[in-house]
Amino acid sequence: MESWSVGFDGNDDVERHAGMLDAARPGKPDAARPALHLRVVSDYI
Amino acid sequence: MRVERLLHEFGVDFDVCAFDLKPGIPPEGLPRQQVYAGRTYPSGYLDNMRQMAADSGIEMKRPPLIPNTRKPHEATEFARDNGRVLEFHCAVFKAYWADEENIGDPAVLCRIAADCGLNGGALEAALGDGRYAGRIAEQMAWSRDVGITGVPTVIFDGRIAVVGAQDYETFRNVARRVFESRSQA
Repeated sequence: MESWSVGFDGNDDVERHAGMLDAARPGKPDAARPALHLRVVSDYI
Repeated sequence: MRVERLLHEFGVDFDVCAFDLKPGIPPEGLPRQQVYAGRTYPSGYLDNMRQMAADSGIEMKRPPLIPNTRKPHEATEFARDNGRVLEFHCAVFKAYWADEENIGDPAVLCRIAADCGLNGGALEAALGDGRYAGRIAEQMAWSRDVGITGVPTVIFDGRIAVVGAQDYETFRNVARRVFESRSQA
């Protein structure tokens, strides 16, 4: 699913590593891994 | 809420950025019927939005008032400074969309803050003196400068943005890809 649609570095970076998706590790947060920075731009209405 | 699920699965440093979706709303707000007069939605659009909200545990209604959201954004900064930004952010959304409260009213915001374990009196003072107004102006200017035109826009590690209300799997897939790209850097 390619619903994400905008990248400030472009989407190239994601596309380059698209094949790595299945190798990514889901699950519990890794304490040694820096947290994902998530900036939510929103309005309340 | 999808952000909370990401937090539990990946570990998230949550950040919010204010956006002015409806510039020109007066401090007292405007009736929804006036703001959206004549607007039509694509077939299924509202049902989809309601289902997405329901998936996040919110019964989405159509509040009759469109409030000015400067004060809610300022209050969010107060919550950030006091370590409750995610809880407060979620609580304000619920108060508006599920409980149809006037979140432009400082008294409502102070009550929500108190429910989140924040000091409602201190928030009242902060909203009164406008100490967070500068931050909100900076955030809104940043949003415009980077070209954001719709909300919500969720930006992962400052590099990848997901636009619009998407299902959790979309957010999860992007998060996984961002972690993989980190390891390749």
